[in-house]
Amino acid sequence: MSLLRSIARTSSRRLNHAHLLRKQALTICGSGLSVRRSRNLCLRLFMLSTLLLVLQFWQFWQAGAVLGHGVGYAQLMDEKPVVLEFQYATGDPAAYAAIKVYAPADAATSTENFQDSPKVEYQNGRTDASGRFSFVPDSSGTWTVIMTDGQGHRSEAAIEYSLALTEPAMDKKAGATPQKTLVTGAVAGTAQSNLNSLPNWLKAIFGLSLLINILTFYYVIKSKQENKRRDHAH
Amino acid sequence: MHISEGVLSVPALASGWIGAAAILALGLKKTSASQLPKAAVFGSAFFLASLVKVPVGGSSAHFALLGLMGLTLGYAAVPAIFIALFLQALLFQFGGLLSLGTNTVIMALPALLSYLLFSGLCAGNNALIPNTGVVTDYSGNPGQQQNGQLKSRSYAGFKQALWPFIAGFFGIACGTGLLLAFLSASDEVLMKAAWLLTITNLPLAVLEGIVTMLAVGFLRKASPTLLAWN
Repeated sequence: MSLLRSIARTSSRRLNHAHLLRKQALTICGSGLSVRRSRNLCLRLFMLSTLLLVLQFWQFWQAGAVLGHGVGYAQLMDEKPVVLEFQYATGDPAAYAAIKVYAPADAATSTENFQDSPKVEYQNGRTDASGRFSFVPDSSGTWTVIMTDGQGHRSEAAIEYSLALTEPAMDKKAGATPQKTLVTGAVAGTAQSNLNSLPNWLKAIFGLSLLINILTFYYVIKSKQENKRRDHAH
Repeated sequence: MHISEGVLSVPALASGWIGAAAILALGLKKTSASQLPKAAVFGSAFFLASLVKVPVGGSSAHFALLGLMGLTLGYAAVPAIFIALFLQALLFQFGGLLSLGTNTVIMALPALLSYLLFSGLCAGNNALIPNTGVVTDYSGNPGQQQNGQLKSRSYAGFKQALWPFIAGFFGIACGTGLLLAFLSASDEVLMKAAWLLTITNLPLAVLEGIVTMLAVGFLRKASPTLLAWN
C-alpha cells in the first residue's frame, strides 16, 4: 500500500513538474528572463535534452547496426559498376557537379589536398541531372570519389571495392571461358556516415539537444565563475 | 553560405581559425551567464534556419538569420553561432570541421557587426515612439506642427522598421563579402562561381531583412527584454 501511495505521490509531483516547465517556457517567451528563473529553466531544459540525447544515442546504435551508406550519396549497385548518387543534405541532387575518381594506389595522396594533388585521377567527369555518377573500378581496395560543385560544396566518398579473379587455368580445364567474378562491391560506411543515413528531422532534434546541452554546460561553468567573483567583491 | 571541407587553401583555413578564435574569445568574455539561455534559444533558431530552403532562380539558398542573431544576442551570438555551425558540420555536412573556423568568421562576424552598428540605431528609434513631438526633423516647421507630429509618428515607425531591415540585409551582404574574400584568397578559379553566389545571395539578403524586421517588430511588442539593447 505504501508503495502505491509513494508512486501516486511521485506521479503527482511529475505533473506539477510539467506544469512548472510550461510556466517557465511561457516566462521566457513572455517577459524575458530573471536570473533565478532562467537558471531553473536551464536545468529543466538540460534534463529534457539529456533524456533526448540518451534516446537518440539508442536510435543511432540501432540504425548503425542496420544501415551503412556513404557520405551524402546512395549507392545504386547492379552488377560491376559503382553507381553513386550525390545530393545535398536538403535532398536536392548535386547535378552536373565535377567528379574525380582516384584509384586505391593514389587515394591516400588525393585526400590530402584536392587541388594540389600530383596524382592523375583514374577518371573524371560530371554527375548527371539527378546527381548520379558511375564508374567501373579495375582493382581492389578503397576507391576515392570527390565531388565539387564549384560553389563551395564538396563531398568525398570512400568506396571499398574488391575484385576476385577465378583461376583461368582451372576454368580452362573445366572447359569454361575465363571470367572475372565480382565477389563484393559494397560501399563502406564510417561512423559518421551512419549518422547521414538518418532522416533530417531526427538529426535536427539531436542537434538541438546537443546545442542546448553544450550551452547549459557552459552556463553552469560561467555562473559558478560569476558567483565566485561576486563573493570576492563582497 | 557554408564553405565545405577541402575547398580552401591552408593559409585561408588558418587565418579563418585565428579570426574565429579572436571573436570567440571576445564573445565569451563579454557574455554573462544570464544571456546563455537566450543564446540557446536563438542558437537553435539559427541551427534550424539553415534547413529552410529558399528557391532563388535555378538554385536555392538558405536562411542564416545573422542580423537577427546579432540584434537579439549581442556578443553571445558568437559562441551560439560557433556551436550551431559545429553541429551543422557534424550532422548535415554544411561546411566541415576544418573549415569551421572560416565559417565562424563568415557568419559570426556579420552578426556581431550588425549588433555593434545597428543596435544603437534600433534602440534609438525605440525611444522615439512615446514622445513623437520631440523628433527634430519636423520641429523647425512651426506652421505645420500638428501635421508634423502626425508625419513624424509614421516617420519614426518607418525608421523603426527600416533599421532592423538594414541590419538583416547587412548580415547576409557582409557574410557574402567575407565568403568572397576567403574564396578569392584561396583560389582564383573559384571567383567565377563566387560571383554567381553573390547574385543568388542578394534576394536572400532582402528576405532576411524582411524576416529580421518582422521578428524585431514582434519582439519589441511581445518581449522587449529579448532584444540585445534592452
